[in-house]
Amino acid sequence: MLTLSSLFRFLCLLLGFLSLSVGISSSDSFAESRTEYKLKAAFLYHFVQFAEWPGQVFSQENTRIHICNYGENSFGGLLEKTFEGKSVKARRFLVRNHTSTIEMKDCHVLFVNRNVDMTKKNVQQLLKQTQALLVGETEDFLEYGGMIQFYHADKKIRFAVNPDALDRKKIHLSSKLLRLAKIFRSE
Amino acid sequence: MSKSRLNKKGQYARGVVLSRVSWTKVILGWVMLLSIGSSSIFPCIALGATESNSSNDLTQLSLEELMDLEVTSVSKKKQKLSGAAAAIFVITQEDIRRSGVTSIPEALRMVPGLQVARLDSNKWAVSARGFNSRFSNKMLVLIDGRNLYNSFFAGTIWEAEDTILEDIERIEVIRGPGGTLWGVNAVNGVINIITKNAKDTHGGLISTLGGTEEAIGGVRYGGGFGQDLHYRLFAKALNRDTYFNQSGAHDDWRMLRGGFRTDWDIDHQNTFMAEGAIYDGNVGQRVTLPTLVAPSFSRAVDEDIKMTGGHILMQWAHKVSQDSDLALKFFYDYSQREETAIKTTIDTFDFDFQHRFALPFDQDFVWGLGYRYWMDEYRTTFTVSPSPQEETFHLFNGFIQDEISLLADTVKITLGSKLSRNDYTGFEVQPSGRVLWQPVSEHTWWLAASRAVRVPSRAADNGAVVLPPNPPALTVPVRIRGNQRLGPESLVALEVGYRLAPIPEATFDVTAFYNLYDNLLGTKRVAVTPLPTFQFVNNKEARTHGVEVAANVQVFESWQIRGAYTYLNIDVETEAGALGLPDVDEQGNPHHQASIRSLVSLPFNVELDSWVRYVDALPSQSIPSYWELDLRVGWKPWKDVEISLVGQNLLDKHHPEMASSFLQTQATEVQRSMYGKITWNF
Repeated sequence: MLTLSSLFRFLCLLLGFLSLSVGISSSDSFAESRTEYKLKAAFLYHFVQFAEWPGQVFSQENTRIHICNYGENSFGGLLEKTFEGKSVKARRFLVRNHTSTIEMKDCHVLFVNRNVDMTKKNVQQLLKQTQALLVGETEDFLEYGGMIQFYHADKKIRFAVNPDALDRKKIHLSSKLLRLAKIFRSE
Repeated sequence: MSKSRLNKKGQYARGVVLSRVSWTKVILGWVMLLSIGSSSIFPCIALGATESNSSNDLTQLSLEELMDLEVTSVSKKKQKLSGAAAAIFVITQEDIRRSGVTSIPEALRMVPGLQVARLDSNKWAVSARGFNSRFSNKMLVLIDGRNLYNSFFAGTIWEAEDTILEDIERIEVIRGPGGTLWGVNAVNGVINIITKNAKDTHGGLISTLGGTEEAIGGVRYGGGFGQDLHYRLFAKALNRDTYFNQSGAHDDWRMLRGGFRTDWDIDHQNTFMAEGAIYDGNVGQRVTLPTLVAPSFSRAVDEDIKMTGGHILMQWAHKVSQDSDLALKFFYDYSQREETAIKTTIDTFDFDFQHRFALPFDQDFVWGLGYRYWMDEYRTTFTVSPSPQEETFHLFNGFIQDEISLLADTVKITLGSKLSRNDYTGFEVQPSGRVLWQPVSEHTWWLAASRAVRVPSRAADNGAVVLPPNPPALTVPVRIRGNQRLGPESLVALEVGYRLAPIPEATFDVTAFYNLYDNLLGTKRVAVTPLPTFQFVNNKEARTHGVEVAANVQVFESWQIRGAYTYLNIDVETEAGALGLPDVDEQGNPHHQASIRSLVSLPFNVELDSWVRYVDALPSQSIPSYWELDLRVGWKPWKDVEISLVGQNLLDKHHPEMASSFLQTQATEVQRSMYGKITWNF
């Protein structure tokens, strides 16, 4: 039967653990593992390497490539870390976080978090506002006019591409990238 | 909390200074844990958080490589197979489908280091690293986190557990202790059966199977409400024929089962899962029961065990952040069993809580608490009469584990301990330490030392069993009494493993172990009249060692070969005059086992799969060694329809795999069988 001393020991354990966990869980970013968004950040980095924007998008020689994150930030700093110190064709990066649609005009890549309600109307609104490569992770994102959509298959991250949407904005993706993508065609 | 922020110049300002002081916090954390272990109350300290310097830059990987990485699962840190410091083998859904097996235990025959024997049409003996019997008690089996531990004999009633095999996602088998965080009887290993998320089983499935030994029908329908709430319902009926015995057999059985699973992604931080099932079956056996009537003092009974049961499990997982999550799980399980010798009902309630988070310097910390409560009732029979008839039992569980990654992730050290408190033996500590070294991704070395204990079952604590005479040694029935002063069986295990993946098409995995068991359960004669009476005592020691090999070669894109080999040796210190228990038996487990599977994909969606198995003899049970062959031809005439023809155990008309054990149910011989199967997805 339960003895007092062992019960006491258990309570100590519980108390100790709870105090430890409360302290730790109140802060959120620690050493990362290979989490979903770390992978997605790396995917975004590759997308940029394989993408060509129409000439007028970059106003100057040294214009940075603006990586915009829209919605509640699922990356928690990982996006900054991924692009920090790197460059593509001598252009450096600028990572920006947006919680509303204002001032998105000069984004080059716009990643829409799944916590943003991506209705058809909202996607179309975004397309009007920016020249960006529009990347999302919600279902029907491509059908509503998005360009690249992440999805999961077998616990791995995959992506689908909507060539028509890319054509409309004259963004060119390398065949190396398209070869790995699921191609979306609207009926 | 320091986050990367852009300053006005567009430069990154980072909390580098903070990470320098975090070693002191690591040490502080450990000091705290240790002091908790020695049961002093420690003041609550909130550890500060820092950002670590991440060494693994994923942008260095190619897109193809990125696409091949698995995403960390929600509730537990998901490791790639090559990164685990334990002897792990995973049976995938594809393995199940292409092996042609019709039950879960049969699928386990492909796992190195497991002993699997079919005693009759409905009874299995499954264990890891020896001590196998129908009542194997050193193995923990979980289905979707539900512990199948039977409190009476601390093992698994395999015939009571089943599901639609197509809905199983994978079966993870970990040999050795400490591979799991939970469990008081995960001494020799864990079998973790994981069913698919309801998100992945939309639509209908009808699976029908008919053959010389069995007929099985399964129906599943799944769907979703919106994008976040998914469900499936299933029903399964099975009818299996008798196997072979010279004097006739009565081991045919029928089982009906129905269940559901729902998965709900409440938001991107919270998920909820609930699943449940009920079953009802008539499970046949011929059993020899003791009597007090001379001259045989026994009688054989043909009977159908009535088995009924059900369970419901709920799990809530909460993602605190990218590197921290919580999970809370509850299940209730009910089982009822009626046969001449055993009439019992068991109710089990179980709560588990788990919390994982990252600590500075690439540490991954996980801890948990659990509580299990069960109440049972045994109606006294001449054969089984535990005292008291009704009992309640409490089990408290806890664990802590810290995984520390060093030297740019090439070395991982895992330190942890299970802590438990139970009504029979009190407080138990089960520490383990593991080191993994992966200098390059092709080579992985690991080393582990663990202590594990097994808590006595109800039968061993306060049971009373009368066994029929077993001539010539015993000509009258024998009584075995429980012993309330039993201590836990304990194990110290040393393991070493190596994994080689020279090319993506070939993997090779070898594990060697040395196990030292102490206080193993044996018996001692305590009385001679009116019946010879023995009592359970902790009087045995054993040493086991073995080697387990798994290899996988993709010869061509369309041809895969999967092999497994197991060597096992058991030395038991036995005492003369004691009544032997079947599982603690030097000669009761095969020394050598081998399994080779060939999976060939032919044109026109035809698959040709074969499986050869070898199992060495069990001299103490007079079971000869055997070779067996299974063949499967599968064809998908349309995308959603699969037709297959399978022959099992083709090399012998019938062969025995294990002799009758402890409770003398008649063992029968596994027969050659053929079946056809149609699976339709709609």
